[in-house]
Amino acid sequence: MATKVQKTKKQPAKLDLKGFAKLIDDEQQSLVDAKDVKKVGYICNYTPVELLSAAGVRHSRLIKAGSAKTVSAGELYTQSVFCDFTKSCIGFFQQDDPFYKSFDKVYNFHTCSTMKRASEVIEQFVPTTLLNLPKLRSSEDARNFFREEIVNFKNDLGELTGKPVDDDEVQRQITIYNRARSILKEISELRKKPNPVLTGAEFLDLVRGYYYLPGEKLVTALEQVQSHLEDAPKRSGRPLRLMISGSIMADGDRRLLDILEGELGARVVIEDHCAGVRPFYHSVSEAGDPYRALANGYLDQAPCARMKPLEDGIAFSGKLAREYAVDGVVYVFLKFCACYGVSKKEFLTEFQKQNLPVLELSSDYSESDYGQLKTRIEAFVEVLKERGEVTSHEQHINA
Amino acid sequence: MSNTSTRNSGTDGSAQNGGSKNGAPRTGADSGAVKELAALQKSYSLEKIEGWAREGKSVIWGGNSWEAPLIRSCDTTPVGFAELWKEDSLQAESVAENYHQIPGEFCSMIKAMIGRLHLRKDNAIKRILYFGSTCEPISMVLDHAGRDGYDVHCIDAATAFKVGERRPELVAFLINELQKVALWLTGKRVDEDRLTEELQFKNRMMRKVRRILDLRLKAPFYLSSTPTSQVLLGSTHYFGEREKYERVLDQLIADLEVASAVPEKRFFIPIVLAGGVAGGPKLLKIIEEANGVVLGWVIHSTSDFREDIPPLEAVAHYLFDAQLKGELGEGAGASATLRRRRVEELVDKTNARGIVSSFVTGCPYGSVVQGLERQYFKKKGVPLVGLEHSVHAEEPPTEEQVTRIKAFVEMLAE
Repeated sequence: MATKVQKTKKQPAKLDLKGFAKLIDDEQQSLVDAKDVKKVGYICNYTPVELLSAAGVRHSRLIKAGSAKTVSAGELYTQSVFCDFTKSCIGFFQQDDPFYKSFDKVYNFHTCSTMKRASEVIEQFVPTTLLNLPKLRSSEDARNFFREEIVNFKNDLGELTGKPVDDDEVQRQITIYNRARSILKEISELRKKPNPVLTGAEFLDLVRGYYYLPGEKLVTALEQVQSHLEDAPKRSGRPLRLMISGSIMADGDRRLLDILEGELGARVVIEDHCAGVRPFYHSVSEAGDPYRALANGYLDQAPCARMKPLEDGIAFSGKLAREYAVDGVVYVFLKFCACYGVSKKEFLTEFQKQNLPVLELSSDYSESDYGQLKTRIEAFVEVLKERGEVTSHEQHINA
Repeated sequence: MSNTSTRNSGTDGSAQNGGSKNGAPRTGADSGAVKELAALQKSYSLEKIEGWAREGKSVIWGGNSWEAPLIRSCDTTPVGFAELWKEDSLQAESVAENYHQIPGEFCSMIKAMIGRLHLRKDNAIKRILYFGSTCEPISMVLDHAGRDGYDVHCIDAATAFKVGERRPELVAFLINELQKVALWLTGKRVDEDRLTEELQFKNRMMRKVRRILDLRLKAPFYLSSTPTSQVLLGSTHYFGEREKYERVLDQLIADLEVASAVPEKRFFIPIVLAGGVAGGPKLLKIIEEANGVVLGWVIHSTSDFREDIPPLEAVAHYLFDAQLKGELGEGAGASATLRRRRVEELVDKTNARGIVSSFVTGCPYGSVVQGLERQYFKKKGVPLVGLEHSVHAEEPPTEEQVTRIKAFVEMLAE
């Protein structure tokens, strides 16, 4: 390599999100402490959060990445052949984590088979209900069936709380969450500018709010952040722009971002995974039958690779890469994640068609491979800079 | 539940290969029925099946489990994915890892599947059917098959997660999906009369299979584990020759009725096998060499389709019941937690002293089922040994597999 990547930290000017993070911390603690309300955990983005809010339960997505110890606790049930996210979900329950332990019930719309198995294990710790999620997202029959499952979900929540879920309240929550999704999408799109005002890590910090904060509180907080970001002075220059695509990057799984942004000065401008922008590229119709609207809206969201046809997910990923004018893609799949491990060739082919260099990484939550990971990422970033890829996609910016 | 078993310790060693006092064979080694069964098994090859397709018959990959009667009622032969790894599976796995870039950590089953489908993409079988509630690795590799030019049809995911939950809606949804399968195969809706005939035939076969399994409890040496597994496997595809298969079952029942009339005095350890034997009969042979006899099988369903309701409903209920009993494995979206009920039932019925829980290395379903059952049966005091294996019939058993099985069965003998 002719040019060495600068090893010193190149932290972009930090957006102060401490207040937002504190809101989330307080909310989590408040959920643990709450005595007079039912608490529900859910696993997958295909769970209509509008219904949880309408039912009046405290809720949170079970989205935390565990430590090696937590993963190991999960392995008591799964052996090694599950992804570390799944093992974390089980592991937190096994370890009596106060946050996980506080839930009265867990819901999981059947996404991948591994998560379904994990839900069956989680039922040993907390009452758990699995619900069907059709795979064929465009099929009218699938939409009708999913609507029925959503109504079942609503009824189950009513039984949990002892109070039927009110249709008008569902409608109101649809409006609130549409607003939240819309703001998050708009904030993400600020990153289409050559030198975005927020980093990938900061964006994911905002996304955490979607999973931990109640809808109204979330919208208020996001509106403040959005206003701040829109008023921020334009930055000059153009950092290396990257996209992360693939398996879930759970809350706390920040190793890649730490290296890419914190140590190498690159900027992750878009994340095509289910803890990234995917849930925010859809809205739910605010007219007509709210359960039909939820079924359609959630099946129309940017799809998980589990959904068919797979081409829809690949096309979405390719579209994001173009829209955000990225210079390269880091395709990362959790070890044993079939959705993104088995299908990786198809995703990589799509990026290669766009002449985008791709770094493919198989990941887990261990600490031991940090050095190796960093070396590979460094080499990738170095190659991108040498190839002058930094400028080749600039014409797409703000397209 | 009882975990005590009869310790059979007779001195009648000479009878192992000879006849009993009443002239009935004590082992089936020389039985015409067993030989015919072996011949049927041998004749059911991929080449033969592909020959049917070349002759213009409708043949598909998949659809050979709970949905098989429906597929046959559409004048179509369903071919189990297991045929894909019977031969050349090592080469196929290599194709999957290199061409399809399937990461090494995934199970040999899915890699052999997609690799072999790729290698045979120019062959006569062009259509693939799978069920959306199957595991994601299977579902995802079949996307690769679609890019190889196969016409891949998915029966959308529908799973009964808990007993009594939402059955009418599930049944209605699945019936509609099954109608789509018929339209895909024939351009017409399901011929319910044909389907009823298929279900009745299947039920008749299952009654005979159950009879054979029951008679084996009294005559465990007559039909060893390998032909017994062939009887079970054949109950899904009849080796493509249903009349012959039925004739073999009838003859086996007749032989076993004679053999079981004589009390078995030889020493053996009754075992329940939970999980498949995807790598072929080698693991069964090791169990037998250690004096174990597999009397309980938990992978193939031996249940009947209901005949008191319309046939499509019967197929739907059969599937959802199987899921809740943990039958038919991950391919049918079976419950990981409820399989133990069937295992427990068979431990009681067969007086099994232990359980061999087997799964393909890298299979998430198998690993979690085994983990849950290990905990459960430990509390019940029933010994369980876990066994991992690949699907490669070409590979001999590993030293570890042999040692584990032998040590386990020897421990049970003490």
